[in-house]
Amino acid sequence: MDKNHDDQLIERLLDGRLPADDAPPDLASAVRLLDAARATPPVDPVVGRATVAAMVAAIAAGPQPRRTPHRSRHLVARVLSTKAAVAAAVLAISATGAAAATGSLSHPVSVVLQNVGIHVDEERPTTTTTSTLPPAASAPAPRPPVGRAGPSGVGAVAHPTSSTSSTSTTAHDNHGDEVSGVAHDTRPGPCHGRTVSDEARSDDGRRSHESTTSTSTSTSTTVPTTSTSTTAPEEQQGSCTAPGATATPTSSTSTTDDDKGTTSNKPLHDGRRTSRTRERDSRRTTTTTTVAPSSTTSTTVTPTSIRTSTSARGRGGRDDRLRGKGVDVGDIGDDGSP
Amino acid sequence: MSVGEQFDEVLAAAQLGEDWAVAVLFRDLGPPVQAYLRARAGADAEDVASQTWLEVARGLHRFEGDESGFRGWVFTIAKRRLANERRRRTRRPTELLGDDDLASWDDPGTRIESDDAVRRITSLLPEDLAEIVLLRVVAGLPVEEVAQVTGRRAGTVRVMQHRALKRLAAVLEAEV
Repeated sequence: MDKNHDDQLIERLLDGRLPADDAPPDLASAVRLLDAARATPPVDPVVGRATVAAMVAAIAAGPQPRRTPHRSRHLVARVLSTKAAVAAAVLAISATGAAAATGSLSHPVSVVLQNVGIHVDEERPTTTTTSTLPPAASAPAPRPPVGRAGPSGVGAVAHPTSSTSSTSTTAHDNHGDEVSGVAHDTRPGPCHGRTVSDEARSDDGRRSHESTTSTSTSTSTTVPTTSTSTTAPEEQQGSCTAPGATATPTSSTSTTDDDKGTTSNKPLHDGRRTSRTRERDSRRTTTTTTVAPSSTTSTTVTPTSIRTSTSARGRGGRDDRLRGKGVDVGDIGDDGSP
Repeated sequence: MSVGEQFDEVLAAAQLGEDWAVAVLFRDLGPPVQAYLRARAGADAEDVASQTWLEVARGLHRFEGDESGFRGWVFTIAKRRLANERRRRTRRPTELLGDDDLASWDDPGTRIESDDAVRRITSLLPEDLAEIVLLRVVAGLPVEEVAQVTGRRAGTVRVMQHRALKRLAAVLEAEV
């Protein structure tokens, strides 16, 4: 017997598509039995009505179809979208906070945050670079409002060869001010550039001023740019052994900064810092021409000891460093007395 | 007998609790379910049928599929309820149905004839083969649905139904 033929035949017999009379004789009785079993009688009407009523009641008591999953999908979508929005907001705030804490927040963002009343603590030095042109250039160069510190955290340091007097102000650790102080402390000479460069590379200023209060009574001595420019060729040669260079009388003119001092360790906003820097620069410019031995709280500075603003705490360590580098820093006390 | 092309509308209405739609579904599937359960559950067939339909009603909102799938789903529930009833019966044994009990379930002559045919099938075949034949003939399920209800592969179902039919034919031929 052909198996495929049997399968098709059996399928037709079981489905009731082949009448018993048309079935093979050996399967006729079996097909009749299947047809009798297939002819199921209807359910008793009473039992049927009771069953249907019970089913309708059970359906009504249960959840409604096709609305619940639809609604639940909308609900899930709403919850997910809300969660996503909250997560994005938290992420943005966290990222901004982290950037502000690490000091990597860009300046425009910092300004915006400060405008809305959020204090951004910029730990890295914010350098205000003021370029003072040589006397040949009569017009002062336009001053950028706020400079950006380089990767080393050191701003533009006064370098005689560039005839640039830069004031580095640090918002928090005052490292730039240390460098600036060294630049002004060091006698103009062959060692000036190297000493300032070494100070700029070091992080001592950061460490020494991390917990320093802003009550430094600074005595600012400004080295005129004209004098530094004259020492440039010597420093370019790198000869630091010639201590003969002394401060000119004008360069030894000391002026006392105002009540708060220009080297406040308080974190200041850039705008305030800039205006204060301008103020200091203008004061420097004036003091270079007005030698005032009798100026109030002035410090008589010998040619071999020029000191600039230092904090009371960071002075000793810096003096030691300068002495270690062969620089005579003198014996001026914290109050400016020798 | 089947609902046919109107099945989707009937099912949607039944899922919303429309009594007319539930009646249509019950009128279509009630008789084969009861026939199947009478052959398998004996005296407890009516109770098992009631439990089956209530479970169908409770789970009707979750069902998605065509008419063939719906038939297979209903018989799957019936088979599960039958298995539960058999476990309960083994814990609390009762007398099995005799011929008189089967005939007295309801009276109409056609029912007796149908039930007698179903009973002969179950008595002549092993249980697994009898179930395959009942699902194919009484429940009217295609091979694929029978495979799903019984947990077997479709090829296995085809082989089993082939064997069942040959065995019935051989036995009935021998009686003659």
